[in-house]
Amino acid sequence: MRSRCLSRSMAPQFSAQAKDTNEREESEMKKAIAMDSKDNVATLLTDVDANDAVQVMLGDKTAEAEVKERIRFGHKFAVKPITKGQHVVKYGEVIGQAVRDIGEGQHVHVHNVESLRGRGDLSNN
Amino acid sequence: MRFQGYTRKDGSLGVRNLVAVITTTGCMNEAPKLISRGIQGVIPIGHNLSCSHLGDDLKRSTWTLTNLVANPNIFGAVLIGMGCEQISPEKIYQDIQKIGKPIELLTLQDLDDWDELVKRGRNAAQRMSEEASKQQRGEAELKEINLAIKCGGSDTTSGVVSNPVAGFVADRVITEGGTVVFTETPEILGAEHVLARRAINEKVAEKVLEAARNMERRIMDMGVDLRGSEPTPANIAGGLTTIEEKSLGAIIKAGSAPLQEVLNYGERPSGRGLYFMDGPARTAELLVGMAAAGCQLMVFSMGGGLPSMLPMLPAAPARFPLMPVIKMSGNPEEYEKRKDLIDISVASVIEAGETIEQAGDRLLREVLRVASGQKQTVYEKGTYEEPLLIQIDGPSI
Repeated sequence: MRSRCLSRSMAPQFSAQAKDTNEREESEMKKAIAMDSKDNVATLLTDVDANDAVQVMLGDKTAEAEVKERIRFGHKFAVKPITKGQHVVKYGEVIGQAVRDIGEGQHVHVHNVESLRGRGDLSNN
Repeated sequence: MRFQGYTRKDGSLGVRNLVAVITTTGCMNEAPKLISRGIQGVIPIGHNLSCSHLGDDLKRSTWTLTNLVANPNIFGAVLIGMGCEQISPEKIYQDIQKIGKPIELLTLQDLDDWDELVKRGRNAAQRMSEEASKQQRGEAELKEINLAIKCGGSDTTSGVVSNPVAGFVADRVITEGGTVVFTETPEILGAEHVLARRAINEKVAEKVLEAARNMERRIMDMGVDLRGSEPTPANIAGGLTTIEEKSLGAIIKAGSAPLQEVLNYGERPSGRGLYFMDGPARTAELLVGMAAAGCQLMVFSMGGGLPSMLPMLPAAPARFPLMPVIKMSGNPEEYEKRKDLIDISVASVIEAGETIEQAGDRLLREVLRVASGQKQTVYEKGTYEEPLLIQIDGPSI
């Protein structure tokens, strides 16, 4: 079951990073976390500025990404381009759909994503 | 894993040793306050229900109040009825007698005088308080714990840090033979299929999906967008974008054990393991539902933002003495600002490379410390008394 794997595998991830990263430069790099290989967003673990390089952790792997705008801790950015109408995926599951095209490295939040659930506003009228 | 608790006659295990003065109808809410005032270990419990409710709401209120009094943290209870109410004081009295818990029943109808009711109530509470004070804690095991887990004030750290830590503890409690209850039906929307896959059989899986469908149907019938309530403005400020994202992060708090059953609000689990209660996310009603399910304590997995600045819990009574609540946060910035308002921080998972397992072990030790009475939680220090809220679905008449 996916969420179990996440809750278990993410943990050693953080400590493994701290231990394995001897190079000062890398350990000071801003970090983000992706929850599943299918995700097209990652969650930032620090505040970032435009053009900051970010280390994205996923399980045992890490990848580098560049954010395109100032984004706050805990918020998400696109790790792949997401086109209008496409599903936004986190935890390997659909968390909503893009209401406009979202470029790689851009902030992903309520201004460009809408929920597909509990939309009574769309149901009748 | 052992701790110290109070063994009750029905075999359950209390982590607190309270005497409750509790009304069967909201009409009598003033009485428990007057009766309990100044008596050691006696707590007043009023609530929102009366004859102004119909059908299922009335039925639910009866089983919820009965199960609330049956909570193992309560040594005994003085039940205060009006005598004419639809929620039968006699039925609750008899059901509590059956489990061997000390209980006395006083009604205004029988005594025909308010002052006499208060006087007799105080005598009963005083007697019961003296009996309760003779109880001693004894050795107890983790399998005797019914742990409630809730998340609130969620931000994106909840799904990444504090909910996985809570989930680790949930799995440990269940592995040791204990029980974990989680709820918040609005917060499984978008994640119900993941939860349903973990059900022990098709019937339970269908109940999960049905609970989500019913909740969504009620939202759709109101003709509104859920956003603004789920996620809340505070959730959105913390980075949560949609209810689907919040739900997928929220269910992690319940760990990975097979789901045994879907409980009605305020219903007690029939066995051990993981249980989902179909009920509201609002903390006020949720606390009552969890205590009625027999949970002795609760872990509250907190994100950050304004809700984490509260000494109490968001959307909850300022004081809920029935069940200690451990507030945990995984948000480093918020914890630094509000150390005195959070019982345990697991922000070191983000900041210092602590693993979820290590943080989970710390949380489990905290649970046992609170259960053993060695620590009073932040939320237990609240003072303002107000009536409890029991879930209502239908109209108030």
